[in-house]
Amino acid sequence: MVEFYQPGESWVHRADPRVKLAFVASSILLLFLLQHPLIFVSAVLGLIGLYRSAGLPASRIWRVGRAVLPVGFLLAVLRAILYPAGTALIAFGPVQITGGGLAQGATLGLRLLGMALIIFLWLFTTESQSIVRGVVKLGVPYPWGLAIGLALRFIPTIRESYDTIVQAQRARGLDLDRTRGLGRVRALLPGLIALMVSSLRASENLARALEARAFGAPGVRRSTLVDIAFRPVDWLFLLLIGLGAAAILLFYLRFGIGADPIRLFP
Amino acid sequence: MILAPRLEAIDLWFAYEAERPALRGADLVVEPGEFLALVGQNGSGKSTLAKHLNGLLRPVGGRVRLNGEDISGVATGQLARQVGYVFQNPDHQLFSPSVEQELGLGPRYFGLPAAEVEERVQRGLERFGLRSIAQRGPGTLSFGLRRIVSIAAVATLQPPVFILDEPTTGLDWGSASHLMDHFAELHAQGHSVILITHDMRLVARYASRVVVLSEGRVVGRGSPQEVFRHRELLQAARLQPPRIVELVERLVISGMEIEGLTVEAACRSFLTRYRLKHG
Ligand SMILES: Nc1ncnc2c1ncn2[C@@H]1O[C@H](COP(=O)(O)OP(=O)(O)OP(=O)(O)O)[C@@H](O)[C@H]1O
Ligand SMILES: [Mg+2]
Repeated sequence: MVEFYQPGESWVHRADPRVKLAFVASSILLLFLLQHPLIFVSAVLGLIGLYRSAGLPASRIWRVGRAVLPVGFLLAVLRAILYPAGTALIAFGPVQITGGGLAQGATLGLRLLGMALIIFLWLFTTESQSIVRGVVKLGVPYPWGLAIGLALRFIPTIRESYDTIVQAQRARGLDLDRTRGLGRVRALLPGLIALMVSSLRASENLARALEARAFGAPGVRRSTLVDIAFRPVDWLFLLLIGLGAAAILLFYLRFGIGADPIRLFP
Repeated sequence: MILAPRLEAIDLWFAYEAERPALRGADLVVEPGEFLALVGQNGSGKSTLAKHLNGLLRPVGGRVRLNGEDISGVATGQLARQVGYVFQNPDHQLFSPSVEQELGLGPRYFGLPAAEVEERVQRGLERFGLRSIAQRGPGTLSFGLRRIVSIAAVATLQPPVFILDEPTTGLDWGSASHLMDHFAELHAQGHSVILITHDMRLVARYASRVVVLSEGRVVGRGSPQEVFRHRELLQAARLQPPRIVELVERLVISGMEIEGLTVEAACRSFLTRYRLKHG
């Protein structure tokens, strides 16, 4: 099975999950505020640098890219065509490609890629137990934290089940190459139903297994095997994240840097 | 009589994840009408190899031939007419609101006329003893029954070649032998059967040839007899022959003339010798 977590000993792996969560939250917020595509290009390059320094293989970066690039590209093209801004560079009849439209399209596509890279950096470098501990220490009730951990743990499993289910349909004679559009959706519907049934069955079994292992036993305060604690360096990371985000925010609010999709410096 | 095609996998390479190939140059030939057992420890690549034989997975290196023709351009939906595949987990292959419709799903994908579909469904219900639950939803059945429905649903495709991926796990010995006897019958009619299993008793009883897989490569092949005798091979692939084979082997070592891989065969051989000696 292909898990999200890629074991490792890098500084990113060892950073406290709460610090990483702070990074995820603040950088995603910034990605939504900022508009200029060059900022996003540098953000993506920076993230790739982080992946490398976390010792993640290029295949991991590629996996994230492959998953979001098609959608990102489609969004970018649609945006560029549907919302022209400024004078046309090229025009096919009513369809205009403008510098502004292109810039906004690029921003949209790269924003998606950047967000995916940020979230997966967190998932790839953080064990699910640490994720659970992290969100619980931030005040999320333990059953919810566990639910988050289990959901993350099961996404790859469900994805694998779905692949097998579609394989089983094809092995029964479903010819996907000859169905298109709506027909294809209809052809895949039985598979989705099978996926739901098998996932429900799995979740029911899981719930029973948890109960059989005394989950939710009354009158017990749960102890933990994996505990997390801030080290001095985690405080430093947190400080740097805060300073960095504040600086970018300041430039953005005070001087409008990056607020426009076409001009970087107003 | 059915004439099954010859299947041939040559030097197959495949990886789910680039760093860890699941197949590393696997070779396999399935002669028309043979009963082949594919064995090897968990994760050795049995399912992965089998999924190449009907194009569910496409190799990154090597090729698969069906009657000498490369299948790389042929869709799985088409190959399904030649090669039927029963998956390891029944819950991944039950799609329909009723058992009856489940059995008819494949024939309908093939575009067979309604009367023909109906006939195949009825025959399937009969053969696998599913008549009394024909209207039940497959999801509500016990594991054993789901298992059997998933097998019956492939049998209605009437493919010349069957691939059975651990068809008897979770079945009691009675249901398992009943099921396997059914495939022995199909085998007698000319179908090829590829049986993936960890149960060496089934191998001894039904297979005419065994292929042993380890770490994505074929590390041994031969008759069950030959494979069961090959100590190092068994150890490397973490296989244990049926106890009766060990018993017979020890008796042979202590000077008794006896043979057989199943209890029945060993008994027969013993009785023949015994009667010869003692009249
Ligand atoms: N969908 C998948 N994604 C990633 N890796 C996989 C997938 N399916 C199988 N593998 C890996 O490929 C290798 C071969 O698996 P395969 O399922 O072919 O083995 P098997 O011999 O059928 O094992 P078993 O006896 O457990 O069924 C294993 O290392 C397995 O972890
Ligand atoms: Mg398998």
